[in-house]
Amino acid sequence: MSPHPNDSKPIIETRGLIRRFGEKVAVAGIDLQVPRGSFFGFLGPNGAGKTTTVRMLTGLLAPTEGEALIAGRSIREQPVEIKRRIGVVPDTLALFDRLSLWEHVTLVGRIYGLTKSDTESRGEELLTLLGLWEDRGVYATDASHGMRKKTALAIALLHAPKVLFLDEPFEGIDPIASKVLRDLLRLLSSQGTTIFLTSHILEIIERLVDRVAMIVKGKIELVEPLAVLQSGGRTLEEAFITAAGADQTREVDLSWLHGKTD
Amino acid sequence: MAAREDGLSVFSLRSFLWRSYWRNVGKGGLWKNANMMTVTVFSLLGLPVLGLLWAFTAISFLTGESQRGLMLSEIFLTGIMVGWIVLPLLIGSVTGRGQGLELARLMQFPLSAWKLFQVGVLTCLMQPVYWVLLLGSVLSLVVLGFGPHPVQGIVAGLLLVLSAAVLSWAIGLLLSTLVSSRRGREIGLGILAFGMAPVWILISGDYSFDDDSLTITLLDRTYLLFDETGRQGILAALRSWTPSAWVTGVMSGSGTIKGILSLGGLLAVSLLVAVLSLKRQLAHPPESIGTSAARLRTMGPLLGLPAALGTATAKELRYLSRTLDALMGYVSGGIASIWMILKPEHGPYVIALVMPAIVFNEMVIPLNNFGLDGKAVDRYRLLPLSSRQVVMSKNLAYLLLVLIELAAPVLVALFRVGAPYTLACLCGCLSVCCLTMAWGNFVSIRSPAPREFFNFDSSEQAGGMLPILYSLAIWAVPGGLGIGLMSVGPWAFLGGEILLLGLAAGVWVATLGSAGRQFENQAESMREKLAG
Repeated sequence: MSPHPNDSKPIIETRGLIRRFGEKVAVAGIDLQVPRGSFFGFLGPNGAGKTTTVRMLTGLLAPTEGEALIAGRSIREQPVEIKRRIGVVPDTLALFDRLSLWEHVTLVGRIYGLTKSDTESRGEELLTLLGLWEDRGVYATDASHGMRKKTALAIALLHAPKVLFLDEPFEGIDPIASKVLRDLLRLLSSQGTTIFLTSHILEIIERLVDRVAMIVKGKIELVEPLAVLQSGGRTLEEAFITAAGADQTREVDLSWLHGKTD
Repeated sequence: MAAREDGLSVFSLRSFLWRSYWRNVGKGGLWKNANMMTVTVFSLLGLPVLGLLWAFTAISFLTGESQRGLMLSEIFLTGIMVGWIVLPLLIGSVTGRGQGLELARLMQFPLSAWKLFQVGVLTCLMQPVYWVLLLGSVLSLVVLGFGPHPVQGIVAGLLLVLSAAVLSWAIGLLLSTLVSSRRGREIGLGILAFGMAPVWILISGDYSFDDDSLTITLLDRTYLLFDETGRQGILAALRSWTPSAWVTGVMSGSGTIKGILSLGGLLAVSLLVAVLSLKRQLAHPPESIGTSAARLRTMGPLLGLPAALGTATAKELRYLSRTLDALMGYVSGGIASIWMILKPEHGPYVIALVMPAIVFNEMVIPLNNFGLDGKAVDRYRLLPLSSRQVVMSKNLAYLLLVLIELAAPVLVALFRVGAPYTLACLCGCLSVCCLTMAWGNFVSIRSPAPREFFNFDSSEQAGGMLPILYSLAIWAVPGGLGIGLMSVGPWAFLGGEILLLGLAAGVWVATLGSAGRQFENQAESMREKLAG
């Protein structure tokens, strides 16, 4: 079978993407290309613009300027078409408080036009894999943070998306769930799903991704294959700290911390 | 298998909407829900009036008194239209927050603005307040069937009902869009300032009511507002531009084309505004308050408060000044001041109306002290503040906000109305504030409800119907005292209100400690309730 003519094009592409909130510039004109089928790590310090970028790429927030294309479609012109092809675990998880975990699965299956049997079989598989099957009747509002996160992941995968956006998926979940999630993401990546992942946990990023971008103060400071970044024995942490400019932090005394309060 | 790409019928989501909505309603007790309260109050007060009006309209048509029937149906339809626009705004159902499947959360799925709009409409249909409105609308269409041109009348009536329903969404979403961004608020204030010009003209005019005719004199010229027949004058001309008049025009056969076209145009414009506003709002969520760094200047030295208490008060005041209620308070105070400058003789009435209105408008604050804090309510327990000081900082911020809003009308009234009367009204208002705080501190801790900044949202009060009734009853104390003492003289009025203020302040101070202890004991459950 010959390759699809679009296979060589990046599946995610941004051109001068800017987002301002009032006078604050959260994302200051980023140009990014994510190859099809890659496992892409999007890193940056707190407040660097990672979540704002993900929200723009997933159609949850309108860009102030610039353009983003997902699978060749414009996020400004065809946001609904794009949402049919992507799965998202947003930072807020965006679950409906008064629906049970299973009701989330059936609702989302219906929205994506899956048949009842497809929805139920896929939903059962996903919830079982993520250890949620026994708790499927729990309302989202009564579920723990980890359970909510896993539910958000299950509904993001239900329609077999081409691109998966994950905003801090490893925050607040236990080591067992973390391993399940890592294995699942590896499997998806090996099957050709493009994964766009933000995380602060560099050890996990190092074990998963094949390409890394770093955003600092709204600007892309670095885009490299992980292997290139780590050449010469440099760790991802060192690269991160250098790119973020944290190695130039002013030395402070803090001697007052040694004093004792009553 | 790839997902099927289109053909989603929003109607197929009805069971999810239904379950989610009713579980949401039931979570804090059915009768604490704003929607339920609105339905109950409206059903008790509004429905009997509408029922009578409906019966008289039907009888008029059936007995051949078409003119009277047309007049009554115009009133009936106006009532339905106002109901459609006002009730959804009152319960804050327009943006779908807390009413079922929140539209902002549905944004992650492949649903167009039009489909999200349909979800919103479907969610509305789950709510009892809309059942009442639908019932009223169906009744209005039935009564139009008794009129002179029943088919045309029903078509026009249907267009009016649909327009009113969509208009309620369009107005709510437009307001929400305006107030949720800094630029929008600037535009809104600009429109408001521009809109003050006709208000200024109307206030400065001299009105006279002679021989069943109302006239206004402006710049030495007299204009007829309406005559005894109700067909001549400016107001009569304006009436012909109201949608209900278009319907009666169609029914009478005197303006069929104009009426149908106008109603169709109104429906189209409302639909367009509603969908565009929804699209805009979903893609541009409300901006966080204050993009510049917060500068909480210590108010301690200024107010003679300890620094920690002063800073907590300043933080709370900063929060409160960024709510819609505060904006409405400033506007009311501004209009009242202009009015008293232009018409000093109206001063006593203006001050007696506007000062209580401002206080009443802000009563939601002491009834829901922690509504704007969200999950950060825990932070208070980590600060070096006693629980009593936490509650007190909330109360002081509320009092300061009320005083800021009252400042302009009070200053003007001191010169235009006189010091004793103005100060007596001020003392009356402050005693209401103290009594509301004394009660509200307990209610706000027992059943806090989350609130949002500048996002068009129902100003949720805590505790349901009882605190609202209590708050209304509080007014009877300074009001009754004022009416009784005013006949004795202004100084007696002032003396009585000062005494009452002293008593009310004493009650407030006496309950602070107990409210603080309650806050300490219930902080955990508060956090859960405020986290939604």
